[in-house]
Amino acid sequence: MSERLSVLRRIALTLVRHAFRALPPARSEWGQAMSRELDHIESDWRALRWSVGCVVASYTERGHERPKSLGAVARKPSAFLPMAMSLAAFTIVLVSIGIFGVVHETDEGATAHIWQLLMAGQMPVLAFFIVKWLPRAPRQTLLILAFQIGAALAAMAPVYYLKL
Amino acid sequence: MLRQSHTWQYGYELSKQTGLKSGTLYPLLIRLSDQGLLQSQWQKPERPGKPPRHAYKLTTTGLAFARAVEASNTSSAARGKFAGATT
Repeated sequence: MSERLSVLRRIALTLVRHAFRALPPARSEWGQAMSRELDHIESDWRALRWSVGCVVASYTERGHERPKSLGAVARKPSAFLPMAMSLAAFTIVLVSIGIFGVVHETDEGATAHIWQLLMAGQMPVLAFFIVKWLPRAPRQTLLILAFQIGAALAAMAPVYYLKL
Repeated sequence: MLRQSHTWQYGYELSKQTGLKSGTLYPLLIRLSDQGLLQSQWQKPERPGKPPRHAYKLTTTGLAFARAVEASNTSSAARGKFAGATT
């Protein structure tokens, strides 16, 4: 290896650093272990291949991460997105009622379409959330799922009761 | 690892021996370590100027497990050969 780092070696170093950051904190020792090996690989190409593998390993570990707290699960996009979408749908209905009042139209307007898109659009996210997190953190997932269902029901309530 | 059960081995050497890429090898090492089948330690570098390396060795349980897996593979291979010979 030359004194000046080659482009390949620099890319390898960047990748290994990224792999280290991508690992869950509890696995940081393994991140160090993988990155230290790079200094013992003479060939720059092999070093690059090694570092690509390190990134794969880090993301594999991240995928196996089991969140322990409710907050950790709640921070996942698939947990808060459905709730945010329900909240947006609920707000749209309220704003529409505030501006136009309770209007019963046979032809669905833009508000109704946006509401439908928000409610239907959260279904795949919700399914993903259940499939991904229920086996890993059942209690936290069920609790968040209850909030998600509550938010969806809240968004549906004005439409149902006011027969919009 | 079973063949060199008494020596500490490094990740890169293990990768070369097994033909596994680091992306496959490290998740395996982590799983084995979590299950108490693998022990690891930081070792001083052999050459000056190099950083310490993480080295791995099977634990007693890991060794017993590896031997059991090997024995089971050998017996299934023998059964396969026997079945092939009789048909």
